[in-house]
Amino acid sequence: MPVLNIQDLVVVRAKNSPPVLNGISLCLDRGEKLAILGPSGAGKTTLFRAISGFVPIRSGSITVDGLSVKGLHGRRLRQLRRHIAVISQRHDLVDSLRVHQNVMAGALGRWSAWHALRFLLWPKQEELDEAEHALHRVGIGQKLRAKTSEISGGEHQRVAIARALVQHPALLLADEPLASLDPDLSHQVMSLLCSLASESGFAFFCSLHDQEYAYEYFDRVIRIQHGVIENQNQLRAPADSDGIAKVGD
Amino acid sequence: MQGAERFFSFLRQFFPPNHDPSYLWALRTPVIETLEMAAGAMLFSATIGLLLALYVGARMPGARSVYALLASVRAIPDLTMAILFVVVVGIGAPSGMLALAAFYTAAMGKVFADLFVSADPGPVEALRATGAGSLTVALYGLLPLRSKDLLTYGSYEFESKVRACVIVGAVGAGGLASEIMGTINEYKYDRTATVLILLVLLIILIDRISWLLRRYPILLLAFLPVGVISAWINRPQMFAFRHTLAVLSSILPPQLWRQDVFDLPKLVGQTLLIALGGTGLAVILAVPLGMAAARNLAPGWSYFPVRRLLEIMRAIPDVIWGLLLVTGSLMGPSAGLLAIGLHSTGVFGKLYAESIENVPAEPVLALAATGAPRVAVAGFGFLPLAFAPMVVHTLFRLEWNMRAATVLGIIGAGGIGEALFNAQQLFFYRKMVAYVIITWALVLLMDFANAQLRKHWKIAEGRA
Repeated sequence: MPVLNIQDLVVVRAKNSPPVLNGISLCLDRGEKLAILGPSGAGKTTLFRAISGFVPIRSGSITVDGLSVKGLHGRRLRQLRRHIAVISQRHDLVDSLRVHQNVMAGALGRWSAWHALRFLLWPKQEELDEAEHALHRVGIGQKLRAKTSEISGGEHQRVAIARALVQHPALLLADEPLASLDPDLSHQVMSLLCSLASESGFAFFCSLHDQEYAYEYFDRVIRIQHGVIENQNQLRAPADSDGIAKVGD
Repeated sequence: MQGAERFFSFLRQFFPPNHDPSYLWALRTPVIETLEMAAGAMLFSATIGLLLALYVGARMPGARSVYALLASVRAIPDLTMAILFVVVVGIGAPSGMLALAAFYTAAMGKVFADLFVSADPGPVEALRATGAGSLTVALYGLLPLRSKDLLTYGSYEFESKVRACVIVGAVGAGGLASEIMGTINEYKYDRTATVLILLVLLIILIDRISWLLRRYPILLLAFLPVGVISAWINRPQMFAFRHTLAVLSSILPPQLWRQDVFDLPKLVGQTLLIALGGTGLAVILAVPLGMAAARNLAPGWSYFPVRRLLEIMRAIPDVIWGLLLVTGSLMGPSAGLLAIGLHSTGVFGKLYAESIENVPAEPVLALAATGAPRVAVAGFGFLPLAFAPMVVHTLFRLEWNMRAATVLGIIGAGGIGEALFNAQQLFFYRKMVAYVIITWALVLLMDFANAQLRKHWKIAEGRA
């Protein structure tokens, strides 16, 4: 069973406006890495928001781990979101919290409300260990207790990735993770994300501006323009994928 | 639980509120008087305050002294000022209006001056570089640069002034509070309830008007004639200079008796307890209420009723809360503390809710995307992000609560105001002036401590 399965997805912003996404279909297996290219305004961010259940679906379907996104709300929607980690171009950290608090925010989906509030005031050692482990994996273990407002832009990006790791996702959505990074850092972040994806085995879906990175790091590359995938027919890239993708659960 | 029983039987006497048409019709006088005081004092304090602030902002000769004068006059609480004016000018609306005009000229002048002084130096310097004079710099640089903030802060000052107009009556300076005092003294609590409802409606109306003014500043022009007319109607008849001079000479120099000096530490301690305790109580109550009133956090069935509740708590000024508590047989500092706590809960609840609503959406959305429950999103996102503005609001309010704590004693709710008011009632004017000076020094000291605290935490007014 694919981790992410989208069939004929149509999303409109307002009732009579043209669709932002117009008949998107795609499929993503466990351990697979897919890049989506397209100019800004093409619908990449809307697609990601629709997968997380933040945008109402007009027609078509999205399933994540076999669970349909359409019409979910409340507790069921939150359960779905637990399995989807999101990294955006702005990193979206809470600057007034410490780094370890931002990292463990990834665990909020499985924690009860009381557990979450207790952690803010009185974190347990094993929770701190988990945060430190995640930070180690992204290479900034020493920043555990730092103030989020005082770390650099590249470190911000890594904290956001660590938060995603703590979530133990089935699917990682990264929306333009390289925007606002210089080329050196971009390569570092991209190879980090890809090696984490093959280590942990989650499906990795990433939107990019620059096709150079797309062809270097990803199994498959699709292009989106005006809410339509342009190279739908040549979805499969030349076979250099390692075969994990076809196994399924 | 005899106390509780007595309290409830006291509360029952407020219902049903008096709705006798002739009484309702008679209430028009204090309502109009209140509005006139507000409009007249507003006209005066806004124009003079703005001129003084421009003087300071343009850094004309002696600007520093003008600023110091504004800051120090602002440290005499409005009610204390009203008592002084009642003694010197006489009982009635004119002295209420004068007191408010004096206090708010200083308050607005200082706030506006702060805005001008912290204006972006670039354009101002560019103007100076053309060889423009100070006045030109002020008109073409400072005013346009800060017009939006002037309007925002100005309309907040207007709101608090109307609230102040409502309460100056408590010391015999006319308006609605004089009416409330009267009904309480006659034990006609059903009438008290009517006036209270009127008061809440009036203040909600003023809130709406000031919201309109912020949106459509042009409406300010309509207030000009209203202000002029009301200032003229309530002009003080104080051209009996000899009387004023006689009063002045009888109230100076200030003097305290031996026993009063011994009692002073207790009075000051009570006042501090009322201010800090009341503010603390309000913070504890307002954090959950503010969260429940934030549109982007709370569900619809929660924020609408909570907002109305906060509106009512806010609309009843602390002095009126104190009056009710004192009438309901709760005396001394605990009444003062509760009064400040209840009113400030309404104020904080609204400001906290707004701080939460102004939080940037993206980090919060990122938390929601992990599947976090609402309470966890609040704890990890909304509250830490809104923390800085919430602290700013709290510290600024603490300045006001300090002033309120010094005046609540006037209605028997403890603190230094009680001693001040007793001295006035017994015609010990020299003692009264001594207490006025002590109040003034106390407020100045707390303002200074508060400013240091904000500086230490690097909190500027702009971040609010």
